[in-house]
Formats: sequence, C-alpha cells, structure tokens
Amino acid sequence: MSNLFYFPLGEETIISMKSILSFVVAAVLAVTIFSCSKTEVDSIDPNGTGGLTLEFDNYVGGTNMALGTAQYKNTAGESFTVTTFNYFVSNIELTKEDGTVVKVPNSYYLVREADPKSLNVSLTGIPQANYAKVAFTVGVDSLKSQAPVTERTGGLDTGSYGTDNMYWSWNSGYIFMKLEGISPASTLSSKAFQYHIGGYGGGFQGAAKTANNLRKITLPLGTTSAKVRTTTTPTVHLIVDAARALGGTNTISFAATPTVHSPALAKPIVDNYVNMFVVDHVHND
Amino acid sequence: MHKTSYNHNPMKTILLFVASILVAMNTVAQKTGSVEIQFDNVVGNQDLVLKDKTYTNANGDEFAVSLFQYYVSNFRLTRKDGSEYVVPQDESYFLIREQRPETQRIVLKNIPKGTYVGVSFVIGVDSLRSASDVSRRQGCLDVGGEGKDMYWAWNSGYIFVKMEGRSPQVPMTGNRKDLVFMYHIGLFGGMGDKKTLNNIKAANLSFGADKVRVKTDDITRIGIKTDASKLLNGSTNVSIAANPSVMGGPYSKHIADNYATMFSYDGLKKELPAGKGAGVVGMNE
Amino acid sequence: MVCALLAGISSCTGEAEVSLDTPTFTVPKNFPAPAYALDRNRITSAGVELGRTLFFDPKLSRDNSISCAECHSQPNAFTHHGHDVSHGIDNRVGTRNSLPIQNLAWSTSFFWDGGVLDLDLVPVAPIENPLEMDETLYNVLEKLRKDSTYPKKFKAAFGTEEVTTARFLQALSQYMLTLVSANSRYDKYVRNEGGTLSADELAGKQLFVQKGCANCHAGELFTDNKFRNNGLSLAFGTDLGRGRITEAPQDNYTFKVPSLRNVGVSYPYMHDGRFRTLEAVLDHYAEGVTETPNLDPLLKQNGRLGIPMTAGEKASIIAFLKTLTDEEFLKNPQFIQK
Repeated sequence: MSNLFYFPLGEETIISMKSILSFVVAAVLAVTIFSCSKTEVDSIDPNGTGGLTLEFDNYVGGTNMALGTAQYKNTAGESFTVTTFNYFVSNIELTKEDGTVVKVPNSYYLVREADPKSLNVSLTGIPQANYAKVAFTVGVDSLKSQAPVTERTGGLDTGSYGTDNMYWSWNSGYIFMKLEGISPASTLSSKAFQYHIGGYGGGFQGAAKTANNLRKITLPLGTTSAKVRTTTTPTVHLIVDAARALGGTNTISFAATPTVHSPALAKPIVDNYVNMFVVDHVHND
Repeated sequence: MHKTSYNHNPMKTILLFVASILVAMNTVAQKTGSVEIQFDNVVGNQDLVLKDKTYTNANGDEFAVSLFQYYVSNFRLTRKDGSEYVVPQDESYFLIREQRPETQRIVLKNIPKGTYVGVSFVIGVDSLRSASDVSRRQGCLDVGGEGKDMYWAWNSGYIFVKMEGRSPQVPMTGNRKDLVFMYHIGLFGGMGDKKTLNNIKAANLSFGADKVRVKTDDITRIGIKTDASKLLNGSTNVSIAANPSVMGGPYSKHIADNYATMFSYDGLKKELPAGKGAGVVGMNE
Repeated sequence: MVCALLAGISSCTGEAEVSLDTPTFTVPKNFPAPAYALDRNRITSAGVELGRTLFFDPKLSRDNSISCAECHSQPNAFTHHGHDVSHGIDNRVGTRNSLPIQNLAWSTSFFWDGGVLDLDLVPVAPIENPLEMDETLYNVLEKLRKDSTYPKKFKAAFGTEEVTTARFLQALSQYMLTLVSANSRYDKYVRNEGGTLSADELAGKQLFVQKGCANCHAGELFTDNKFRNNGLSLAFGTDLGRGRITEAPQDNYTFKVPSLRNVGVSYPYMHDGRFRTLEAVLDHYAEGVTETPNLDPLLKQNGRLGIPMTAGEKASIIAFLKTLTDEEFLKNPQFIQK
C-alpha cells in the first residue's frame, strides 16, 4: 500500500512554477529598466562599495601546478614534484588611478594549492573606483603575529586547516611560505625537500630578535584597471610561479639545501619569492 | 538590400505544385489508407503508472518510474508474400512519451491497400539521421524543440530510450542526494572512422493470426505493448544498486540488448475515445 | 579549387535568392578543400551577421550573463585568454581548455575528444553544459523568438522570421566559417606574397619537419585531425579524452591534435591548459613525455620517450611557430559585433 519511497515532485512543481513566474516578472522588469537607459553609463558611486577578487593561480615555470606526481625541474636542473605549496597574503592595499591608497582592513589570507577555495581571495567593502595597483605582504605582520588568539581567525586560525601546519609553535610565529616536495636530488633519505619560510622579526615580550622576512609585494595591474562598481566585481588574475622561489636571484639546489626551517636561513628563498607574483590580466565582470 | 525569401521562386512553386499533384494522383491510383499504432506502455503485466506505483524487477529490486520515453523510427509493414511497404523516412520518426498520451498514438499515412502480417521498426534513430544535417532534424528530432531532452550535445547523438525513477536500491554514494535511477541509452555507432558503441536495435513484430487489412481512405488500428521492465530484465538482469545510472557507457549495451525485446503486438484496436490525444503524424510535429 | 567552389556556390544562387553580395568565405590558396559541406548551408552576409550577433549575445546563457565570445576572444585566436580551463556561468570552472575558433571549415571533428562531428551541432554543447552556459537550446530559441530584433535578422538571413534550431545553428556556423586565419607571415612566405622568415625561423621550420612535429601537426592546417596521446602525465587528472566518446580502451588519453596556427597567442596549451608557455610545451616533448596507455608510437622511438631537442633547437622551433600568428585575423574588425 504505502510506497517505501515517494515522489515529492507535486509540491516542488508548484514551487518551481512560482519561482519561474517571479523570475519571468523580474526578467520583464529588468528588460524594461535596461531598455529605458539606452546607453549603460559607467558610474562610480562615490559613497558606494563593491568587491574585488584576487585569483592566485599557482604554476611551476610554464606548467600548471599539480600536487603529487607532476614532474618539474628547477634552475639547478634537478627534477622534483610538489606536495605542498602554501603562503600567507596579508595587509592588502589597492591603489586608485589617482594614487589614493585603500587599505583593506584585517586582510589575512592563507592560500593553499591543496584547497581550491583558498585560491580566490574575495575582498568586499572596497570603495568604488578604478584601481591601478595591488600590494600585499607575503606573511603575517609582527603585530598580528603577536595578537591574542581570539583575533586569529580564518587563515590565521592554525587549527582550521588540518595538519598542514603553518605555525611554528616553538617560535610563536607563522610560516609565511611553505614549499615541499620530493626530488631524487635531495640528500635526505626520504628524498623530500621542505622550505618553511617565516620570521617576523621576533622580539615578542622581550624575546630575542629574529630575522625579518616580511616582504611587501607591489604589482601594477597594467593596461586594464580593476573597475570596482556596484555591478562589477573585478578579478585580478595572478600567476604565482613557485619555480621562482627556487631560482632567479639565488639558485636553490635540493642537493645542497634540502630543508630550510629557520628565519635566519630563509633569506635566499625570500629574495627569490618576492618575484614569484605576476599579474596576468584583469577581468572586469 | 535586395533580399527575398527562399520560397518566392515562382518556378519552384510551380514545380512543387506539379509534383504534389503527381504524388496525389499516384496516391489515388494506388488506393491507400492509414495505419494507426497505439502504444501501451506497461511494466510486465501491469499498466505503467508514473510515480505512484511500485514494481519489482527480475533482480528483486523495487522501483517506481517517473519518466519513460523512446524513439521509434523507420517503419516497414510486411505483406504475406514477404514484400514490404517502407514508410517514407521523413514521415517515420516518432518520440513516444508516457507523460504525453497524444504521442502514444501514431499514424502512418498513405499505406497501400492490402493485408499485412507484421511491422518492423528501429528502436531509436538510425545512424544516417543521427549524423544528418541539422535542417533534416525536424519535429521530434529537433534538438532545440521536441527532441530537446533526448539529445547528448557533448557526444553528439540522440538518446534512444530514457527511463528514470526511484528505487530504495539506489546507493546514496558520491554526490547522489536522492534515490533516483537514470537509464539514458543512445549511441549510434559514430561516423566513418570515428566509431562509438552502436546501440541501435530493431523490433520485428508479427501480427500472428490477425489479418491487418488496410482499406482505401480508412484507418486500421493496431496496438503495440511496450514493456518498460525489459530495460532491467532479460539477457542481463540489471541490479539497480550496481548500476543506478547508465548514460552511455559500456554497460548501456546490456540495457539496449534487453530492451530490444520490449515491444509486442497487442492486437487490432478500436478508435480511442476522445481525450486520449489526437494522434501524431510524421515526425511528431 | 577556389574556382570550383565559387562555381558551386554561384550555380546555386539561381534557386536561393538570399543574396551573396559579399565574398565572406574564400579558400586560401595554400589550403586544401574544406571539410564542411558548404553547399548545404550557403554563407550569406546576412547569415554571417546573424551568426556574429548570436556569438556575442549573452542571451545564449541561462542568466543572460555570458556569450560565446566570453571564452573565445579574438585577440587570443578565439580562446579563453590566460585560463587553463575555461570559466563558465557563475564562475563555474570547466574541465578543458577552450580550443581556438579558426579554420573550422577544415575540421572533421570538434572539441578535444571529437564528440561532435558536425560544426552545426557544436554550439549546442557549450549552451547546454552546466559548467558553461547552462541553458537549453530550446530556451535560447524561445528568448530569440520573443526578442524584438532577432526575427527580422532571421528573415534577412533565411527568408522568413521563423526562428528554428537549424537556422540558429546554421547562422552560427556561417559566422564561425568566416573565421579563417591564413594571413600569417608564414602564409605570406609560402604563397610568395612578400612575407619573409628570418634565418632562425627558417631553421625552426626545417626542424619542425625533421623532429617530426609535422607528422601530427601536418599540412597547412598544422593538424592531421587525428586523436593521439602525446604523453601528458596523468598527474594533472585522468581525462580519458577520445576514450570517453568511443568507449574503446585504445582511445583512452588520446586528444585531438590541435592546429598550431596562432599558437603564439592562444596559451595556455593542452586539453587542460597545463602549459602556459611554448617553452614548457617544447620541454614536455623533449623531456616530459610520460609512458601512459596508448602513448603515440611517434613519441617513443628506439625505446626513447619524447623527441630529443637541444635548447637552441627548441628556441628555433618556437621562433617558427610564432610566424604562424596572423595579426590580420586577430584584429579583423569584421569578426567583432559592432
């Protein structure tokens, strides 16, 4: 008599009919409104805000990054695979075409190749304007590095992304950039390489000073400004080339330096990775 | 601008007119009638009732059907002497939908007067038409019209038989959010050296002891039963748990082999009462 | 060939009175005969104009937000600039890198897996793909029927205002067929039209043949239109390619050999857009070829994977490939919706 499983389609159909109707009404209204204003005026609401997305697209040289078995080569000629690639992006600043700088408050983001959601950093509440430059810090500034745990939310919440640790509990600081993988050239028995880059300068509560590896990256957007409007949320598509962390200014060899775990030893890689961010293009849609 | 319509060539119009008179004369001379086929979709020995009725397949799985539709095409009527009358191809494509009673009644026109002993047809759409010019895909073959839900765009071709429904046997694995099973069977074999699986089947039905007489200017009505359970039962008894969703893929061959036997002759029929649909001619236009 | 084709078209003009006032499609002197059956969908300026309007119209998507041109932009040989896999509606991400729309009259199959064998049926796939335009062809036609301008455009192109599947698809085909790229520096060189190639580019041209690139990227279209496994590692995903269509194990991991015309501007490369630069592509053929099932035998000769190339040879080949960039095609204002 009674069906073990049922079709709720009857009700759904009615609901969807309603939603279709309201959609049609909305569509008709929209068409009417748009057809009234013949030319779409690109207007900036001086008091209005909008959104902007930074898209971090990780590569190794000219080849897309795929964690696991994809094979790459560093400038030392050593082949390798990447298992982890993470970095903090913080203190984001946007510079308008007229030179005015807009600081995005409390902007701390952890970009993890393993987590596709983290590759798109969506900023909201951005004043409407044409932006010509974007700048950010790679890492977490000293103030935030010393902030109470209650202020450490999102990417700063060290417990929020599983075991992929980005925090040195022994040195009370964040790992700014982490690049790990496997290379036959590595002198470790595991054939692994691990580069954990951090160091905000230390000196917390009278503690010793450490190397300061915080770096600010400033990137002009090129010919296309990012036009933040009520209806336009631009995307700044950044190419992040992990190979540049390993080469360029200093050639890093897995054979010579399979691991870096301390701020003091990190400088050669830091001097490299300041060049790993490139703006590819801007979408205004 | 000097553009005129395709149809305003007077020479062409005259030719068409003459041609149609010739066809008409020929028809009169041949003395023809019509054959109406009434399709009755069933599940085993029970009537097919969408959604509300529960059936059991040979594997012992309970299921209900929410959608059942299929193409039949390329009709031929066989005479006692083995000769055949082939219905002109452009008038020989039909899409039978359980949800739309008017499609379950098709009319083959201009059938030469005489006694017929059987009917044969293609289950699905023949390979030639499956690969034909878009302008020859009219009526139920119009992928932007009547045939819109019976076409695969990415692996270009028609879905021949489509059955969907619910079963408690459907495993709630992967992204599956409800107990829905889907069998979408197509694949016409590809073209030239670009081969795919060929699931085109033919039905060949004998009228047995019935004398199916086509009389001049009259309609002869016959019935065909379509047993939807044959998708699941036959040379392969389909387990809904193991194969809840077959859309192309190698397993589709087994379901096509099964449904090749789903049609059976169901005797001479009377005119259907009003309200059971007007019947369709040609390409279900 | 050109003559035969033109003769074929003009002989038809007697019965079809839709005007053929502009020669919108011609076969370049160095090209073979087109594969598309031009006689069953005669190219007219009104048809091309309708097709172009449709190509640039976001009405073809579910929420009227994106048009074909979104992922097929002219300056990048009608590909999706800078994106490894193309982005569709609601910023959903597709699984494959969009292919250039150029010289389609010479293509015998479409998409990376050749799932569609007729240009006319190509637009249905992106329109109905939930990751792309997420619409149904049926709805698109309904939208166009209700539009105040389209029925007139259909009349201009096809004689009556009726908006049908066939006309919609044929108009898009007509426009896409006009996207012929055959005026690169290379073309002007081979046709003796004043194009010159530098010594390095000529060396690259020679190496292109010597190293066997031309075995697959064959002829003036720079493709043999076949499906091959070029040894891409499966580390980036296990797209079965052609095997998904034919369900034949011997077709797994094979993909259409793409044309190399405008390859200098149509990055990223490969079906999943894994390579951003031609250097990365050449490095792949030199050192990155992986032995996956159905690897093309041309990429494993005498037991060696890939094609041995020195850095200099790679650079020369890339220099040659860049001579295939056709600025006239990439900047032709007729291809854009005014």
